[in-house]
Amino acid sequence: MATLEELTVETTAEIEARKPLKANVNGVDRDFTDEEYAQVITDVANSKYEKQEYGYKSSRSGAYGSIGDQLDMQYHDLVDDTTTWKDHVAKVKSDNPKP
Amino acid sequence: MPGSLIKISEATGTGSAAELKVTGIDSTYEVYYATMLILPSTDDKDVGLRVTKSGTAQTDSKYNSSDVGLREGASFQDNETQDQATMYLFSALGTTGAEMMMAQVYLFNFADSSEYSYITYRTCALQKTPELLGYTGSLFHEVASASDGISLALESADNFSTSSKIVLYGLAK
Repeated sequence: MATLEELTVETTAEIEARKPLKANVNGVDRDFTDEEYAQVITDVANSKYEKQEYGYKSSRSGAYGSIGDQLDMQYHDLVDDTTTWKDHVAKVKSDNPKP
Repeated sequence: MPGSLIKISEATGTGSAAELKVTGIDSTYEVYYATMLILPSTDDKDVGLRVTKSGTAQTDSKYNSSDVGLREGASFQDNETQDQATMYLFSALGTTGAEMMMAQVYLFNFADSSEYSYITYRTCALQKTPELLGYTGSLFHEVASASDGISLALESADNFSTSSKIVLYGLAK
């Protein structure tokens, strides 16, 4: 896993390669200021770090499916003596592992 | 004219802009309103919002929000954040026209130098899966000073496509 410092170095190189970045302010494009370059490097590096550390949570959230569908799985597991719901949850977790 | 939307400014994606910013909020109107059509240049991008003061996007960790995510194929999500450096309006936005984020936001107390800046928002888009996802919620920037606009940026400093646009209006009574 990359550290925040490593991601900052990586991001700085990426932003340098993309210069000049522009902002559209009230309909007019202008180049980023030095302060905006420094800020965007911080923002992008922090975003990468957050996704690396916590991205699995949102991925799992979408993959679990609706509560209704999960309750239906549990009902059929009870009636049919199957493990569909448990297997489903285990697969979501294994497909989207914690870092 | 009473009961009107008065256009203040607009910012458009030119294909090379990594930030869209609209300013011009002052004490002329009590409430301001903005519409947004947002499309990234590359797939799977989050959309971040900041308020501006004297035209500068505020990057302090003073954004607090709560919303509900309404998903087409999964349970609703309760979301809340405190003391964030930016406020995310949408996540994992795609690049096709059908995946464009549409949003409407109301801006309250922006011109008040002794109040926090409040925003209520509604967004919707087809997420990259694709899946219809909408958020409805509110946020505030916990700094008691006047704000004069809003700024949007995409994850990875991605460029906004040419279809992207923010339009800022004043709500005339």
